[in-house]
Amino acid sequence: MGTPGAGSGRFSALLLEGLDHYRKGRMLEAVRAWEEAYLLEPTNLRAREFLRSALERIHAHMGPPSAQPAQQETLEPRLPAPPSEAPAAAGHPWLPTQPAVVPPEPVPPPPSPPAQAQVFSMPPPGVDGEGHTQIYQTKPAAAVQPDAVLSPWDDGPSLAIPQKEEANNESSGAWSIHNSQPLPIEAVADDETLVWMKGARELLGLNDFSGALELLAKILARKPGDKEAHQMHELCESNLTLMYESKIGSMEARPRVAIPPDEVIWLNLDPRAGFVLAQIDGEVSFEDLYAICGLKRLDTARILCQLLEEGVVQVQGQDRAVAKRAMHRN
Amino acid sequence: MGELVIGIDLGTTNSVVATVHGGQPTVIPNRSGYRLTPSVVAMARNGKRLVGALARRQAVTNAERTVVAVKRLMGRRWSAKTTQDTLPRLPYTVVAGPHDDLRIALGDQQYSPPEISAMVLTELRLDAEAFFGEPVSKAVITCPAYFNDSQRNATKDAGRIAGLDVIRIINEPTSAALAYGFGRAQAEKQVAVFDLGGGTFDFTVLHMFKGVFEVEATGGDSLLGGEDFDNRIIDWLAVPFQEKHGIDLRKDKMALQRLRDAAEKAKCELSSLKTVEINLPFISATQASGPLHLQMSLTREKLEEMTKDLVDRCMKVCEQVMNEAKVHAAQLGDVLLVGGQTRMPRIQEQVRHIFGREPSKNVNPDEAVALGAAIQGSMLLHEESEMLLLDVTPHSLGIAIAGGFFQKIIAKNTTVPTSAHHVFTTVKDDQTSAKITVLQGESEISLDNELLGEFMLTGLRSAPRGGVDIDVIFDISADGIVSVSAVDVQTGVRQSITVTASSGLTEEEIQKAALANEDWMLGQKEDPDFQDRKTKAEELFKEFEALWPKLTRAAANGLGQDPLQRAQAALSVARLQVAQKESEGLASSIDRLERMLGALKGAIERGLGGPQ
Repeated sequence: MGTPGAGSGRFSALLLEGLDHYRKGRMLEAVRAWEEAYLLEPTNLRAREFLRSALERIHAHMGPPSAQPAQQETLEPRLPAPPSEAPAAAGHPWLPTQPAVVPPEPVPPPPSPPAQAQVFSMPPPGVDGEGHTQIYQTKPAAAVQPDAVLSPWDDGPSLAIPQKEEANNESSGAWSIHNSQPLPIEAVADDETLVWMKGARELLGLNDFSGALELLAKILARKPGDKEAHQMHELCESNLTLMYESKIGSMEARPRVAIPPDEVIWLNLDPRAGFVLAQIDGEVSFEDLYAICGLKRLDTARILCQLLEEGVVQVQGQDRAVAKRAMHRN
Repeated sequence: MGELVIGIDLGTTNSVVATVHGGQPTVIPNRSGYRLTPSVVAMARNGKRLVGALARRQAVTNAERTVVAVKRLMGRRWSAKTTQDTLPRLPYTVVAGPHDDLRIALGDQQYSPPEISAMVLTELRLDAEAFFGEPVSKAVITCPAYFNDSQRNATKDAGRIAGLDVIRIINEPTSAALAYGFGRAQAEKQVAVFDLGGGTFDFTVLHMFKGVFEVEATGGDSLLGGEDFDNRIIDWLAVPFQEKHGIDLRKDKMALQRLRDAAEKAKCELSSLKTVEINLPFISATQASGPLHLQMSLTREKLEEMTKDLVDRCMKVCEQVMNEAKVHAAQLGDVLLVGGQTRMPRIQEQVRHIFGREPSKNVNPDEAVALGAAIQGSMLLHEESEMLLLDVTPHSLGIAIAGGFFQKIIAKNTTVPTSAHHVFTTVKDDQTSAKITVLQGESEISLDNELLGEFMLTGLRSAPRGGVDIDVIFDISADGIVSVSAVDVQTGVRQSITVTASSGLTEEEIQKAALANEDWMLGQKEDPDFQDRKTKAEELFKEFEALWPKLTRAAANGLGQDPLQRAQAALSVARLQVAQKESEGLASSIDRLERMLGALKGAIERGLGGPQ
């Protein structure tokens, strides 16, 4: 789980962004977003798992294994090497929207990605990691309708169904990023929530409760009566709460504000966090703070966790632990 | 130690519990160390029942599930005009009860006002038991001088539900005066009690003579109190903020709660300081300007200026009551200040100005009422008679007569026990029955008074109008029980009724509520093994924490992540059980953690932990 705060927000946003690209078939962008997320929190399992799964999936769809044994080796994920130690670009021989019926032509390389994005940087479309032109055609061209837009990892007959871009720009199908079996792409043109639900399930499977929660909130905003979404939402909330509370420690502890009142103004808080902070007086226990703050338990736990992490509040006996955490951050 | 008795000031806003300890009246601090306990009950969003300071601190953000000022609803009938006038001002939901009484919706349950008051009383009882280290059951509880029988009975019922034997209900001003006069030789004098609490203002003139306290006149404003002063400060803070940022903080529950807390704090500080700084960082935020902070300086002078009309209202009530009682300020022996708001220097100045004397400083304004109740309790329990406290009828008693009028039979402030009678005649020819409607109140119009009970006197002999004399006799016992009899003077035919003013709850309901409360108290009591288990669990947490770096290395050296993840999950569960005081579950978690710890230590010893 990421550290709460701005970094964590960015991290989650990147994960979601990657997921969004991934579902829309924009694999390059997806991998880039996850790379960035990974660089933000190199120890975070979620980012690593996303990337690993994505690369495995890409690799799995790169054509008959027998034809490309060497290529498979070059596509082996290099995770979890820390970003600073990772070699620069081995490349991913994969082109997201290359039509199968169009012979690949060499195209100019894309603009150089930022330095920190080099770990998983992509080779030019149509060129594999070793500079070889890729052959994407895995089935006879005649079997594909002329205007079909195929992705190289799509191997089912449903890929032949023409999808109009304007009507389906959000519906390129859901991918399982951790299932070894290729998943058929679902047509979800008229219901984005199916895609979100699938994403939420995947995130939940990866223990990315906050990511799943965001998607579930979007689903529930559209379908307030969706029972499964409600159940998953509850599950995510309770898991996240548990995670935050395990960081907070004993609920009977009475936190106190650890910084002078005139320094509070320099913190980066929202009004809800400001409210929670105002209730902390060294006499009220964490458990009582939940009761008097009137926020959802998860929100209170998240804010308390943030305040503890940032050393804004302390619990007697935990001062050293807070200092240690602050030292690690610095 | 002899039998224990406590005195309770069950206030509209705050309550205090006291006792006579070692011969001295003493306030019992609550378990948080404070001498005042807010009379607030809430059902927090997490389902926890909150009473006192915690309930008050979330009163704004959780207004619909927080019961404040339940005292205003005690012993009220749903159909009464006063009740219907009060309801719109309450933030919580009140519905009609089964006996024309009230029920308060709190969470998914409904409670009568005595049950809510009982929650406050239970808290005070637990505080007292923590103070004494043994059970407490006897109590004297105070109520306003103007409380009628139903309201007093409701207070008594609240005590019963809380598991208390309420040995006496006494008037608040009487109680304050008792505290004032305790241990001092008493000359005959009139004393005024100026009681400005959090939500109500009461002014009472008492006659004290050789230990006898009699209420001569009482009046007040039930919608004037310290909270009105706080509201003025809140407005003073919120209006300029709104002008500057376009945000009305009073409409944001969280911001309003902070404003309220800050306003009260500032008001209290201004009783001793000339200026206070009010700082509320991150009170709001806008897209454009980001977080917004509120920082202002309030002077005592400004506070006095903006609350001048409130102070004037208090003084007007004093003048009215004194005029009614035909008492001149010069006749008063003392003016006692009661209620925290009387600490405001401006109020003390005005009292000094109106009464031409320095108000008494011998009484702690917050504690006087509870101390007096404790003194009375001690005297009753130990049969000390040096200060006899007489109960008086707070309102006039009588019956409804022809034309919709009210005939008083016992005047208000009559000391009890007492008896009085009045002879009435029939109003129709050949009238064979008469309905006796017993009322309480001061209005000449029967409908404006409180109905205590009614019965029929039948079997009257046939006679022309005015030919039958009916003697109506009122008896009030020392316990305040009113008996009304009607006798046909000529034939001796008699009917009677015993008016036991009801709080709105039946005996069965009271018993049931008392049992439910007892269950709740048992539920609150911790499993005796919990503390030991908690200590053990915390030791294990520390041990795991110390071992974690080695475990991480062991995981990399072949142990794998799985045992660590399982240990982490077990630790999280155990931490939650500690927080939620799940004693039984914690015991199993401790076993599990101990087994895991043993196995993990073994793995490290086998060399999986890598270099030390």
